[in-house]
Amino acid sequence: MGLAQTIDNLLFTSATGLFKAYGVPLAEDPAGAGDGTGDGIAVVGFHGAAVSGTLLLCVPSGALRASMPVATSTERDWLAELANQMLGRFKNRLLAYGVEVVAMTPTVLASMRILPVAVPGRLQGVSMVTKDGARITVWIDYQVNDHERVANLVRGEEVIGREGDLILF
Amino acid sequence: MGKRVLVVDDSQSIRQHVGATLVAAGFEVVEAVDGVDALERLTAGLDVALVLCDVNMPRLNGLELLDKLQAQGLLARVPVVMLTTEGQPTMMQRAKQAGAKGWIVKPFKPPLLVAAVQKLTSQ
Repeated sequence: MGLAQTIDNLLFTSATGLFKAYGVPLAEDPAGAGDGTGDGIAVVGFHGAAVSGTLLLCVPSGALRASMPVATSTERDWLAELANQMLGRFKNRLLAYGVEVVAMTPTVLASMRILPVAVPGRLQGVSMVTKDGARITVWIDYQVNDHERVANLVRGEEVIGREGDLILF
Repeated sequence: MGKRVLVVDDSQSIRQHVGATLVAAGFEVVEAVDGVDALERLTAGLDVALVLCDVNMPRLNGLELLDKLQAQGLLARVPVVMLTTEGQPTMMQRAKQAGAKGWIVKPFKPPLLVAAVQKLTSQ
């Protein structure tokens, strides 16, 4: 499987799993990935020997508030944390394909609309909808640093336990 | 008052979520916003039964905090569990060698977190 298809699969499973964990089930938007029309957009970079890039998470305010585990969180802080956990899920699953990346610190753009430009092999995204019809979009803008390494990715064993489980040393 | 747990995370949302979860289970919770804040509190004598610590934080990350605590002999009296989005085995091994007692990958499940904290603070 190539990197593009692997990213597609991991984006969807990582996003739906993450939002489900916070009580917001998502379904894939049949219209495909859209632009960043969320009230806030979280951006977090990553880098690795094989691939580097940036993850963008766009979430409307209502869906963001619905996912908050505690009402006292600020939307900005929670969106940054969701992007952090989204990239965490993505990169931990990418590890099963032997590709390791390191995450940067997330940041939030609160007053912008992102219009992605489709560039094959550089940008991939997935949009999902909540049961209320709110649209959540995740984009990954990436560059391949080692084409040979990611030409044919084979999924190995998961290298981490389930999220939330205590691993005792 | 229940046993005291220090929650170290640069995300206010996570500190509040972990705090609310543990307070509801009868623990007392103290927060630190990064590794430097946690180190200052612990070296000043803050008495805690457990530290729950993020890995990626500004100023001083969780692994660097472990090194500092180890160097000052503080890990002998307070167990540290990493609570993080990271899942790389190399990073877990690094934390283990630095003296961490365990590792939890976010998002955490409140009942499992409470069970883990109860187990570790009763040892």
